[in-house]
Amino acid sequence: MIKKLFAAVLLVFMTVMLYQLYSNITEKSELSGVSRGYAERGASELGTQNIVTSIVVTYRGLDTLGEVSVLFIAATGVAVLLRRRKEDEPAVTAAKRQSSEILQTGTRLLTPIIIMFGVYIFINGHLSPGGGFQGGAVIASAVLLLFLSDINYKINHGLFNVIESFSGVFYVLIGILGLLLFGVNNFLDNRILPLGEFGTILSAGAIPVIYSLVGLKVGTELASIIDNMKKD
Amino acid sequence: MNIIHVIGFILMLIGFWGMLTQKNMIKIVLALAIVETGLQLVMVAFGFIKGRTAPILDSAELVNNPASMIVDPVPQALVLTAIVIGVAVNALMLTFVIRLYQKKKTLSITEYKDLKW
Amino acid sequence: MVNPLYIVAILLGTGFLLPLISKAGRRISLTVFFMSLISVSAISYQWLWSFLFGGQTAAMFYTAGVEPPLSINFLIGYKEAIFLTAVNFMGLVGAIYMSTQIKETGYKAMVLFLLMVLGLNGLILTADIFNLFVFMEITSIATFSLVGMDLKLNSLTGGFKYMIAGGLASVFLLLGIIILYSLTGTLGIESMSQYVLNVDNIKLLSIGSFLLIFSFIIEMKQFPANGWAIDVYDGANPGITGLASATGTAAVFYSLYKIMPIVSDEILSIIIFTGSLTFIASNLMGLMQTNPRRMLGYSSVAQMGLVMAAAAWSVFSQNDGIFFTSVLPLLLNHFFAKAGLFWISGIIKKNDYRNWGVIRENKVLSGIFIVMVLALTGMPPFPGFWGKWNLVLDLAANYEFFWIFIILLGSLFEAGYMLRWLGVTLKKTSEKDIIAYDSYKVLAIEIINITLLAVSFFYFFRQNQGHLSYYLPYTAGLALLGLRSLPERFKGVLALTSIFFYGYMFLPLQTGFVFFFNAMFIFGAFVLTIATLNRKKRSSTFYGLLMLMTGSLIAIANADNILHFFISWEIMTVTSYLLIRRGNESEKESYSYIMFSLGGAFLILSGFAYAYSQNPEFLSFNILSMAQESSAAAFILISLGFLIKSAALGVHIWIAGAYSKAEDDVTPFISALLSKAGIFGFVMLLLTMGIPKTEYIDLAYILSWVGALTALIGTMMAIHEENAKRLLAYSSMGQVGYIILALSIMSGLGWTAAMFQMINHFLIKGVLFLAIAGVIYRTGTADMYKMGGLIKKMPWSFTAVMFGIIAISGVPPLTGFGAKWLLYEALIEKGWYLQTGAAFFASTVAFLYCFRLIHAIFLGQPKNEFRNVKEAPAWFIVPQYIFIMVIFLFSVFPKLLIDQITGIVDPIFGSGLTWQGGTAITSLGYWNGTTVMTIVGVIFVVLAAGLFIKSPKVQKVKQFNIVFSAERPETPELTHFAYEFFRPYRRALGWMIAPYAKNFWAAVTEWTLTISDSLRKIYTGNTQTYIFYILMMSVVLFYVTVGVK
Repeated sequence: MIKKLFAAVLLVFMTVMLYQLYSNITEKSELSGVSRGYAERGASELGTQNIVTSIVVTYRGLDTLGEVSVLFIAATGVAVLLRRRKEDEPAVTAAKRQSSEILQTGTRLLTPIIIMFGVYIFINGHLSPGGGFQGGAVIASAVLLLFLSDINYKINHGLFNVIESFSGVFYVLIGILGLLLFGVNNFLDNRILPLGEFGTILSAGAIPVIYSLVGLKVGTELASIIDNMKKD
Repeated sequence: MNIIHVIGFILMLIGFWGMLTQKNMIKIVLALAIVETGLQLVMVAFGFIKGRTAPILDSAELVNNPASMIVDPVPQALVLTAIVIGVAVNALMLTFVIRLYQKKKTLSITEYKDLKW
Repeated sequence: MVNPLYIVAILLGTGFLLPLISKAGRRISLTVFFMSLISVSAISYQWLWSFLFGGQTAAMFYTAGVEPPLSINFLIGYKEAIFLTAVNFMGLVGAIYMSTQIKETGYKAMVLFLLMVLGLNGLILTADIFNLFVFMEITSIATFSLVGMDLKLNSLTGGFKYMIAGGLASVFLLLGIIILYSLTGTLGIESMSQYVLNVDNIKLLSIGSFLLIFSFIIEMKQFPANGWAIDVYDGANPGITGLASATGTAAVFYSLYKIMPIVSDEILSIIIFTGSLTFIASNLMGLMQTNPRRMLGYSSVAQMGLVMAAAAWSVFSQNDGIFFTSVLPLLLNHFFAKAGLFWISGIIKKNDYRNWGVIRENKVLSGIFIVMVLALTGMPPFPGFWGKWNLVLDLAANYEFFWIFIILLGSLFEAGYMLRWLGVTLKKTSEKDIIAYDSYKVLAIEIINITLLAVSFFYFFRQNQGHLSYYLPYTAGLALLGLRSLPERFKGVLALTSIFFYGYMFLPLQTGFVFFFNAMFIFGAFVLTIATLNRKKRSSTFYGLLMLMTGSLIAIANADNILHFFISWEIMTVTSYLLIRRGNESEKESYSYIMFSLGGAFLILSGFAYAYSQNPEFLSFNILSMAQESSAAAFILISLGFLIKSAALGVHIWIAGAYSKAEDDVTPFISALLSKAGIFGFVMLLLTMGIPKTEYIDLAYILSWVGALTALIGTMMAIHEENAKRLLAYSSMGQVGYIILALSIMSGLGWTAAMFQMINHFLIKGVLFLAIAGVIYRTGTADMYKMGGLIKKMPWSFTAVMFGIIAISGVPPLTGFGAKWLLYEALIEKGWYLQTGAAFFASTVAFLYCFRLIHAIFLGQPKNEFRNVKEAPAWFIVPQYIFIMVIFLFSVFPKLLIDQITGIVDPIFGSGLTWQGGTAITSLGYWNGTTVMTIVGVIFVVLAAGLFIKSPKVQKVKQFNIVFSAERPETPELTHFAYEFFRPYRRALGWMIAPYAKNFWAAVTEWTLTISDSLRKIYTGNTQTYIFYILMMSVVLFYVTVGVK
């Protein structure tokens, strides 16, 4: 009770703090600084229709590479933490119930569509809302569905590992390609591929390639996190 | 200064309240996720400009004069990164909770204070 | 130059590929893992090299072919190169340390490790604030996973707490970043720090910068929002905690340093405030710890507070120089020493520091341990010393005395628990335990040790360019430490030769007080070292330490500026501590000695800082004479430090323990030589500063009373001691009291008396402690009631003690008389009659203990068990008689000595003493040493002849005729007639020696520990409490910085 009281008092103070923050926010009416630069240059310089994508993949591409790494670390960390060791007691396996017919049938119907949708999202990342992370998450949701519908479902670890590793390595290599082709300041430059015609699938240079790699990597990583968590 | 800010801040406060009062570790992790969600709303709201459209240049008008028609794209890009990182952290945290639960068969945070003083 | 982006590419590429490479076998993946760490290190060394020697200037690398701030860029300058090198080096060594664990866990551990290193590199390199956040998360998440990797309950709990705190920190960080972005329209740190100047919405700006900084305050584990961090240090695997404590904090610290230019001065002050608070609070809490890893945790947190505050100070005061001279050495010191200590704790695996004596099983580890602990306590020549020294002086130059106080007090607390831990490991315990050595771990620790030493010497040379010849006296000690495996006696002869050689070469070049003190130190050390040749037990460090201590005494006398003086003072303190700790059961006593000595040293340092603040350009002693405004404060602080070293009344409680527990042939060094360091300090202080006049108090008068009372009470305590060495220790205290009293007179005669008394005390204490050492060597005890009747067994020792006590008690004809005579003359001339009375009374009381010493040990009934003891070895006897010969020389021809003294003193104070032939004449009287000696000699011969002729019948008393019929008393003390001989006096005068000082210091300790204990209870171990603290701290600091409006 005392604890709740303390928490309540603290929360009142925090509310006041956030209110002060809120009350000092002034409404924006113009793009300023870098955002103006992105808006004006993004389309012509990088050939992307979606300005956010041009920022995410190219202008601030290093962030995205880091983001992929974060997910990769988390997946590895989850795997390390949930690894089975000899001294661990064998997990008590309660008899599992088969999932319902509706779920099984629905899964069979939906899985290909979901995966296709995921691929669509990351391939079109430079044109419309979406991108590698969103697409990857959608793909992982298909895997989740498979796990739910089939208690004995096992993912193909070898294949997943290969996809995961190669998509990551190629992403890094594309970054280095910029350094090799253009110069020291061109890490992760998307213009190593021709920019193509504005507004079409094959435009914006390497961005669709990068986003596809990111999509594959994110999809496999999230899937393996789910796989690891399912085990215990 | 708009309604999204308000909602974001309220979500953050709810999350803080949860972190301070819930004993269940899973709930604490979720509370932190709520704080992060609120924060992400606040971040996006900072990029909002009244009367403008999304930063996707899918019409000639937009292509010709983007700077005066779109909202700030930067916070959106940042939020995207923040969300992914948040997901990764939450996944790892829940893994810790799983392992902790296996050690002591309880989710109550107050049971895990062997390290102190 | 290799583009630093390749660091990212290499680490990420290897990380991504490792799952596939691991299919080819563990050996190959391990090779690839190490190859990538090595190549990343090579890139950073290359950068550092070209910054150091190639005239490289800061370089910027941006991405995506777009110039910043639109794109993210990496910036690599001199500082970045240093941090990169340090982090990558440590990463590589850490991988070696953890290689067994990594091998066991498999390729996933390698991936996590590589990506953690990636995060650290990114934190240092990136020049974009949001990218900083991304790398922060990479580092954190990889560290979280590595912390939990061993799946132990404590690791997991610690890891979970860490993640919660890290999660909250990122919330604040992101909120701060987005606010600053919305105000400045940029994310580049460089451009942001310029644009903030044009922001109109000041209020929002300060909120944004506050949130940004607050997240770093959490990441830097600041008090009180740092309970989780200490739990992580405590619970997790030492391999990873050592690595995180070093590299993690270094990288996070550097990123904080990078963003400091963005924030306003108010927020910088908050950083300084929080850092200092953390430094002192964490060190205070560390005092109650018994678990070494937790101790290290508190120390880590404290060090981070200090480094952070110092860095904020360097930005605040716009003094980039202080970053290199203070912040960087402080950080590197922590960096290497902390990693090394955590890693050692991963080998020893004892959860209670009291069981750490087992480390002596491994000579290499225990040696490294000593180095690391001394480095951490900020001893010279380690980088921490230079960092603290430069920081304190810089703060002084800016009149920030409060921060100096905080830093020194916090350092004292830190030394308190680190040295307590060190003390345990210096002496072998009986506990036999087998430590499982992992050769990789030992290798990693050795590499760190060598690097720490290399960095120390780098800073040493950097700070001492052009002054290296000053450190000549230390060479013998260092060489002997290097020649540790030679036979003991051979090292002893080398030591003797080196002392002789030094004296022969350099003594003739010196003049004045420097000559006078050096002559005493060199002659004394030479003679006393002879006695150590009797040692049979091998020791790898004894002669090295002894010569370092002797060297430090000579160096103190040679010092020509406050830096040299202070360095030598610290070295003297440490080496004497290590020597005293060599004695049996000396843990408690040596600890009390080092704590008082360090406290004294810090007082001296703060006094120097006060004086320095008046003339911040110079380091020479002249700043003491030039210090006008603050001279009284500086004088009080410095003289308090010297009073502690001289064991003046009130701060004397360490003396008996330290003297009595030191090895018997070491005690003469401490009493005869080491106690003179404090006197030299006074001489130096009084010569430069005089005794400042203040409006309200007469400092000279106070000092004279301190001296007089020390003399009186020291003597009073001596008479009640049963242990010969403790008795002599209190006698030393009393004798030094006279010297202080004489110095405070500030007249020609007074100083002549002081110097004469000092030489007298030096010679006598040399004789007496050596004689007692010889007796203890034969009988195995220092308790006087266990001895008795040794006159026949040890006639040479008896004679030496007899001459010693005649000289010490101040009766004619030996030197002690001259000393007392000069002192009384000087006191009366000054008009201090009460002090004269006290001194006179004290010297009368001194007869009592003198009598006791000879009477209880040598006269009376011999004890059964000592029936067959022999005379002490010649190694003890010879040096005693060398001293005695000198005593006689100066007694018969006092002019020889007094002329030397007046030659130095008269030019300063004017002459107080004239000579007529061999007769010294003052305004009050005269003294002719030769005549006195002749008269006394004649009387002695007459009386002796009379006794001899009369030849009275000697009545033999049977051994136990005091014993009642057939009963033998159980306790030996009761059969000794001299036990508690002066108990009757205690009734009358006991109030004078009631343990006021002891009780006072016991209370101080008790209170400190109580506060420490109640303070640390805030870390309840409950994660929710920690969340509460973090949020509470955010609110409190928010209202302090931003205010409510």
